[in-house]
Amino acid sequence: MTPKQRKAVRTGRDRVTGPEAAVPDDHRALRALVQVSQMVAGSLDLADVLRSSIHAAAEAMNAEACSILLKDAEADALRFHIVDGPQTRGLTSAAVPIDDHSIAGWVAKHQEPVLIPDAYRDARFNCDWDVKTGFRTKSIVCAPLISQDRQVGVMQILNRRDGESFDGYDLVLSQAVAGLIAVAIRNAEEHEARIKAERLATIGQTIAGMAHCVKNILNGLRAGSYIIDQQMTDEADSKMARGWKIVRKNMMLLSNIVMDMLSYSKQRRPLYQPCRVGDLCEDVVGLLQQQAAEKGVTLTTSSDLDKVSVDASGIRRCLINLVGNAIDACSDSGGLVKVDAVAETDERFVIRVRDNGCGMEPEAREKIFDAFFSTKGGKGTGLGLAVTKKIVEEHGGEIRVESVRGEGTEFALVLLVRPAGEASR
Amino acid sequence: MRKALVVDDESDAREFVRAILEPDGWEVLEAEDGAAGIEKAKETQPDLVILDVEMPNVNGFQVFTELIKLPETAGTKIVMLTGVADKLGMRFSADDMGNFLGRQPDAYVEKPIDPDQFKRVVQDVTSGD
Repeated sequence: MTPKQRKAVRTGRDRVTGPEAAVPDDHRALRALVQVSQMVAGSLDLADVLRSSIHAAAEAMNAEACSILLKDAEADALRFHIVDGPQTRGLTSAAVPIDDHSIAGWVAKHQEPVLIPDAYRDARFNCDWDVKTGFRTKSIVCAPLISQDRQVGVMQILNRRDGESFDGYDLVLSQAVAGLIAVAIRNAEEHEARIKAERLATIGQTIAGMAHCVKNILNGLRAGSYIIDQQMTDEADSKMARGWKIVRKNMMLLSNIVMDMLSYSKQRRPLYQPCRVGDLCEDVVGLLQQQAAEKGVTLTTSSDLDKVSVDASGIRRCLINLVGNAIDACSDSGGLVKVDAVAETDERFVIRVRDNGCGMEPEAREKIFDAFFSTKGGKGTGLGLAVTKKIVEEHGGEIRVESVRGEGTEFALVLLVRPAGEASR
Repeated sequence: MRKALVVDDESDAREFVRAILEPDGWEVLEAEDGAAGIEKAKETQPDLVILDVEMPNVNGFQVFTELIKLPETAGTKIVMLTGVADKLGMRFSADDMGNFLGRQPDAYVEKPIDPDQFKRVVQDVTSGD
């Protein structure tokens, strides 16, 4: 308790002149506290708990009006959330700045309760609200609502019905109620967060399940298209060949989205097997060559690596994402995308994907690995780089990025060398 | 002619493997489930078995365990087809497989199959590299 509060409590005791006067006050306060704690324990309807709690406190203090203002983090202000009293016009949702120019603002700023016997003689009091509502404020008790060291709002009790000013006893009671109200707010927030998390988990499971089904269909589509490819003539201007190119390209886009979703939705250990990383790079370059050619981008690859143990499918997924992004970053012809795999030290090798495209602003650079962040608008899922980072980290490696706006970007996958024979260790 | 047996409950997948391997001079045989796969492998003794992991009744792991035990197929090369996230949520690791079964499959290929990668794996596995 602060010295100010202790003084306030003493003032309250001074006012109560005998046991017969104190007893009914005690009972009222206790009743209010019991009522509020039951509300807090029994209901998750926050508005209902707040309204009933503040009302019980106001009744126990024999007050004319009361309100709860909650912090609006975006506006950095308080907003009237619950108002109860004879004249409350224009108050609901009205904003009160967190500063020294109103009682509620001061309490929120300093996180200390106050007892104001005569509002109009206190420099912090802002009479604009009285002018607005037609209410005449005399005495005020105002307590901060603090949940786990976090300022969530304030509660205010105005004017005793008997014309007396509030006293220290009322101040202590309001603090006790404020503590319970803060618990109610925290409960409601936690409940909401839990429901949100459950909803997200359900959506995640549904999407993963759906992606699995779509992946099975894609297996069949890929089989069918491969067989068609074997028979398709290469005449560039044949309508069938042109149409088929479009079908194939879009099938690949669909396949990438589904595979990214599946890769992102499951924790997995890399399935290490011996592999020539240079072959992997060539596969991916071959796969995306058509996409690059359509944009006039030159796509090349080189490697001086021996066989190492990696999860080939995982690294392939990383490369498809990085090379796809690099091609997208090159807007005009003259674009250049280079994929290199080189040994960095005895223990590490690096796969670099470099483009001379548009580069990134530092702000975008900060967010590229966040799931669902995309600079491609409707064309990107925002999963590609999140998945890439996840796969690289599952390999115990790291991903580095260098980018200069207008000059290009280089992604480097730094991976540990596990000699080819280590697959089963 | 070299013989490859594809064991997969999905006819599309079997057709796919056939389309990839036949032009490279493979004779491709098919089995539509695990039990039939074991029988056919015993009977035809293929050089290579392409084995899907996820099949009803007798799954790919069970077929693998049988094939490495049987004298007729003990030397057969085996490539397993895996999913990115297997349905049970149990993503096995190569280490687990090796420890548990006493031998690794010769290679794993993830579905959807990429034909170029698949060809390369088959070549690697069957050339004794």
